[in-house]
Amino acid sequence: MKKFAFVIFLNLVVLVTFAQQYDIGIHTGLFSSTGIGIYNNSTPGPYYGIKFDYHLNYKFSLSSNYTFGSFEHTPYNQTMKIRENVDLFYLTFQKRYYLKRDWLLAVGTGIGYYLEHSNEIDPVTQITEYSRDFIMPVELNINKNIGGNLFAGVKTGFFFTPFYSIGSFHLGPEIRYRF
Amino acid sequence: MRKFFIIIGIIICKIGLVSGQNLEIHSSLGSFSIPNGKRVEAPTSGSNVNLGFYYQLNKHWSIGIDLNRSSNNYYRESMAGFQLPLEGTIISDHFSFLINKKITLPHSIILEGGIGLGIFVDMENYFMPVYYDEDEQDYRGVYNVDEYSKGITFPAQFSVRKEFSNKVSIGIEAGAFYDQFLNNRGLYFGPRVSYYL
Repeated sequence: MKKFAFVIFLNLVVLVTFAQQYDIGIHTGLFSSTGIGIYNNSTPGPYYGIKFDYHLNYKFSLSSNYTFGSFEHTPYNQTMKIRENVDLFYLTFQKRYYLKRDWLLAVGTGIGYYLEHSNEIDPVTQITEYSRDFIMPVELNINKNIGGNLFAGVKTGFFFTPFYSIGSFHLGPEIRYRF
Repeated sequence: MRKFFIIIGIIICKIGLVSGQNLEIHSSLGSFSIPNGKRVEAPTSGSNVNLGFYYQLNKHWSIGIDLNRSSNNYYRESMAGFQLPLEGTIISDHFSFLINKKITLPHSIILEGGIGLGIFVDMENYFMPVYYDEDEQDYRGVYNVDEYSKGITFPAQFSVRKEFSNKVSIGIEAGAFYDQFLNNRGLYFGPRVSYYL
């Protein structure tokens, strides 16, 4: 019983000594089409993103993200490739897992929206066509301290719109600075 | 001995909860006004909702993001010659990163102001005449158009609030957004509630 109490006490100390932290990170990598099965013959393109992570406590963190990505696709019966530009704004709530050798894994989901446009102009109104839709991101990232306040790792994930589209698979390195 | 450990543990836990509050979540609701004739014609005063997450770096500085959505109606007088509805709606989203300076006055009144950088997404919904007929010298139809635009914005915000028991604060917040040429995009004003997580 004494041991049990001691373990509880140690846990409390760990919880207490965790100061809330704030990370600013940038990430880049490859980005696939926003709708699998919607875009014919799509090829992935690059993405660039910035994230602001709030580590609420030992277990949970809240992350706000902006990502800019692009991909190319070829419509049916056409040969010319069309480039689609996508802006993604989303918030995620993440659970943190502490792995061996100081690796930290964070898995989370949340809400957001994307804004997508190509250079196509609507023939009737002469306005660039944009489309915007609700998304739910699923995000997984793993990172490790590389000295000082810098953390490096890998971020991956995808976005889906319930219940009709899934896409925007992305994978790439990220680097973050902890305040 | 067990009681001793538990009591010490709880005390330390409490101290930690009091001292480790660096994250502030806040929300404000209010009015949003757009300068006349700059972005849209004759806008009316609209509504605004703001959600922000700030991290307190130390006693004097905080950094964080603000999410802002505003909605305004406007009236397109220049299209009065055409047979179409002249009302339009503009919905703007601003996503901004801010650096704030905090000043604490007596009676736990806090002044906080900051500037930053962000991205805006505008959606204008209006009616547009289409299908120009050369013979009749007139348009044959009307479209309801959603026109999007996006760009860089420079936000500025200021708030005055009173803090209660180091956890909740209530006050007012005002802010402005400028575009990349430093033209005013809009001003917001309203009551604000914040909570330390």
